[in-house]
Amino acid sequence: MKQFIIKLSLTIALVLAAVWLFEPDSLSFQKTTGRQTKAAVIKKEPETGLPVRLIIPKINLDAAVEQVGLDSQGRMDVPKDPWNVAWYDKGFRPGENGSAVIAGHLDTATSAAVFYQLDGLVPGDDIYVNDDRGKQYHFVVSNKESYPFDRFPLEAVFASEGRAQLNLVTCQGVFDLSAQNYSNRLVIYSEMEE
Amino acid sequence: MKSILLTFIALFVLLLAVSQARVFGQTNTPAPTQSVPSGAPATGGGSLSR
Repeated sequence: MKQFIIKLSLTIALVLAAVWLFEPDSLSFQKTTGRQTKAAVIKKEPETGLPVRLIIPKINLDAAVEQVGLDSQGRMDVPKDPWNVAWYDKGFRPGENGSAVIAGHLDTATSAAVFYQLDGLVPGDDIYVNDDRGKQYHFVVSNKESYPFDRFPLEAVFASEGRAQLNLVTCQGVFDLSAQNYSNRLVIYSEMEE
Repeated sequence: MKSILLTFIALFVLLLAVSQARVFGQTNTPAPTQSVPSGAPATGGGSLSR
């Protein structure tokens, strides 16, 4: 009897060890917690739609919004059309709690572009974003800052949580012909009006 | 024989504890929902600066 108990225990322990090593989620005691883990990371369908137009009355801007991710160097990508703006679709949506980011070209090699007057905005100015569900979000400029392109505060601009914010980004400063890059980036920070 | 049995019971309990720790560790780790790029966008062609 004693030997039978020992053998049984040994067999159970070995089977459980093998199952755990090869497929941890298959153990019954993990199933419930495993489901809870997955449920916790599933992103709910956002209440806000996808941005389709950016409107800034003060600088007579009414532009279509492209969706972009990262370029080949891991930077935020830019709009293909210089008269469109680009929303960073790996971040927050305008209207969601958190900082949404929209970038636009200051200029091209031959002409001005969609954000060439962005520097004219000051705190208190209005910004509107229309989404694909027909809803409009109203933002008010709260601050503007210029940063050297290599000391751009990525976390602060892209990952701030809390209130719904919209950060507009464009180039500024001196153009480096050899690097084909402007020295600075202008950020217009704005907060959503409830 | 008794000691072998105790050893295997202890091993089983340890295994259970480690696997639970793994699961709870995952639960407590916040899911990355936002991705931060490695650089600011290149939003200029240079014509206004020349």
